Amino acid sequence: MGLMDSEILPGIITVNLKKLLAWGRRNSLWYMTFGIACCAIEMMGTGASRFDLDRFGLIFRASPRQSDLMIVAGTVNYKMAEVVKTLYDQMAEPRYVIAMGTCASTGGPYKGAYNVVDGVDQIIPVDVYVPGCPPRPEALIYGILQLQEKIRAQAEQKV
Amino acid sequence: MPDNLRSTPITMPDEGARELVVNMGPQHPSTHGVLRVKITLNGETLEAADPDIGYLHRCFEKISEGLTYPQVMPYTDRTDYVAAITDEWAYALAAERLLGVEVPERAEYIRVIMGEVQRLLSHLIWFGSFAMDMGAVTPFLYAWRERETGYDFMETVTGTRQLYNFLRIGGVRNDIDDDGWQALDRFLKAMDQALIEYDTLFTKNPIFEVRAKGIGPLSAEEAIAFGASGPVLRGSGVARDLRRDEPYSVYDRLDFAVPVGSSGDAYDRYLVRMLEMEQSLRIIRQAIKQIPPGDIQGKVPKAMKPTGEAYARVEAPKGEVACYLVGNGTVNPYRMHWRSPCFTHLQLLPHWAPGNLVADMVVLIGTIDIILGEVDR
Amino acid sequence: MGKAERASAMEASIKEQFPGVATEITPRGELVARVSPGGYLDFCRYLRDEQGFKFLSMITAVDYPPDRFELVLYLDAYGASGDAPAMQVMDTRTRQELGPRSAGLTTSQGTPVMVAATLASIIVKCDVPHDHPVIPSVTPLWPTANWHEREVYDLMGIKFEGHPDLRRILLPDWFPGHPLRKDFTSKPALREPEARPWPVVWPDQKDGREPGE
Repeated sequence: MGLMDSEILPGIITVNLKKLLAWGRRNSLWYMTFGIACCAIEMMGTGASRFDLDRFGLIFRASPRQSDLMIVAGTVNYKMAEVVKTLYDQMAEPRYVIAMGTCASTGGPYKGAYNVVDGVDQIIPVDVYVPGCPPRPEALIYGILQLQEKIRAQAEQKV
Repeated sequence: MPDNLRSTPITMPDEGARELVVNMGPQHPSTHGVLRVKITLNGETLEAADPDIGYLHRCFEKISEGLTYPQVMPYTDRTDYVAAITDEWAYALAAERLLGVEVPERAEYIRVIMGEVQRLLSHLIWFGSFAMDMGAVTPFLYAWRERETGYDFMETVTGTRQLYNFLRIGGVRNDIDDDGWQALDRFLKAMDQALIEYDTLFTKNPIFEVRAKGIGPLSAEEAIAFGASGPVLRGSGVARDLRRDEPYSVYDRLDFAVPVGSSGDAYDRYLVRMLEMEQSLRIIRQAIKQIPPGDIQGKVPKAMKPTGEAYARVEAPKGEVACYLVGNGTVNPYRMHWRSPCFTHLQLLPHWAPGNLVADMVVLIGTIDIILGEVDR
Repeated sequence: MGKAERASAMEASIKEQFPGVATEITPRGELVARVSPGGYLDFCRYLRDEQGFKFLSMITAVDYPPDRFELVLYLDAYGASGDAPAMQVMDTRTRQELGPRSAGLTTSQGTPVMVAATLASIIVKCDVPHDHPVIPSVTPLWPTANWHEREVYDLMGIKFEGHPDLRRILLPDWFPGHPLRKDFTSKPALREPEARPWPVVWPDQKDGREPGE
């Protein structure tokens, strides 16, 4: 992160502001679970005691206004698409989206059905796709770690 | 809580007061899934509740018309995704009746063991969510602890934690090996301890009693008229269990009791489900003793092209799950209809809502034990 | 009297009352009755009131192009009978086994336990023509039919006369067509999401106020 202990005033650390903000953002991603279908159960299991998500700084917030991350867990269909878009619009920036499971990534086993949106990325931009039906908790945690890596890398880009 | 507090409706003065329509939207933290309820309120009192469903309608019935008979099995998992085995069972029974396939005894016992473990897992998640909706977060995490032990067993046998695709038309996919039996043993021991713990923690809790007693009353005649089944029907004092009344598999050789409630309110339905968990443990232990050696897959025709129709019902943790299958001599089912108990029970919500408080809405939704994958299919 | 005898007796009395109804008995002992749309409601009322079919399990429809839909109902009659399967009943409040299921059993709170073994099951089928897909609703007879009929309307397009609230239930309101019909083969496009998925509703505008004022 580039810590430099100042020689003139010991105990003061200077860092790059972008990197500091990225460190804060990625280590406290408060997520709004968008548990639509079966993946929601796996997501609840990831948040429960065995595969705790709290240790990564992820706390479940019910409201989109208070969350940075939206985990779309389950199949999005035509009726739900408008709701997903509204919720995404209600989130404050910087906001990230994880498409959990194959249904949210590409439509999954229900691809091509008359009422199913083939992948939530047709409606909102997605940062990380986690495949699986349903993905194991370890897979979801890996996806979240990849997102943290992405946030860190975004701060390191030379603009 | 003093009785008069609950019986006096909290209203606003008539001057300029009017009803408020509040949207309990498809995304809400009481993790039951994507259900939308349009609630009409007069102050804190509910006047009407109109459920709006379809946010998870995934075209299951239409998709199955384009698949072959064995290919439909994974989709049946995803209707009731917390109790996948019983839903697969309904479909497997319907297909077996159409095709005239015999299931060997060992496969039947394995189905019973897996089905009853699923009943435990489903009731655990219901218990956790029901308690959490009322504000008690601890039972949720406790239930998940037991669920993880159950998941260990399911993973050892089927390879996955959820959505197993384990039953086949005519049998099951694979046998339970030694690791599986040990994992089952650990799960049963954990459940024995856990049920005592939940009882001590939650059942006699005075806050829970006030929140659940008297909420959502359903008489026996009303329950039958509204098409209730499973714990909702038994909580109203009706002694009916499809494992006895429409016998399938080897349940007639297993000994268990059927809990029946007295007043048909949320508290009775809660007790019915908790006691059903104890009875499931009893069934699993008997099945472990009685299971014979043998095949796990019966003889199935190579080309599955049945004609005719079949209606197969099973006692799922949520109620009566049934599959209506019509074959027309081709490899695809001509029509497959899935009868879902949660869909039928959700009609009770507009019936129960008037007169209750807003805070009771989550109790009413929780006492039906709703899973939206099954409601919307 | 066993299940098969009851089914035959029921078939005989149906033939007496409704000679136009074709009946048969499946190998599992369920009755199947085919009625015309004209006699459908009367037949259903007879089944509920005279024969005791109080439990409606499902209503669905099957599309047989080009000329008809087949509406299918599955009904159960509950009651106590000599050959009801044995069941040990447990009381929830005391957690004690009350004994084998039988008429006259009461719980610890004094309420009666209703014995609901399956006396008979019947599948009612009715051919609804494609060009005029209208049929009376059985919601006044069985309240649970409400949503089952709405689903059949939504997915198949059969209209139910006398239904208290016939509107789409599973699909969005703007969805074109009825997808479970055999001629529905394409996937409609997703509608552009509006700013709000549903409009703000004020139940009455008697005082002339606009929302937000």
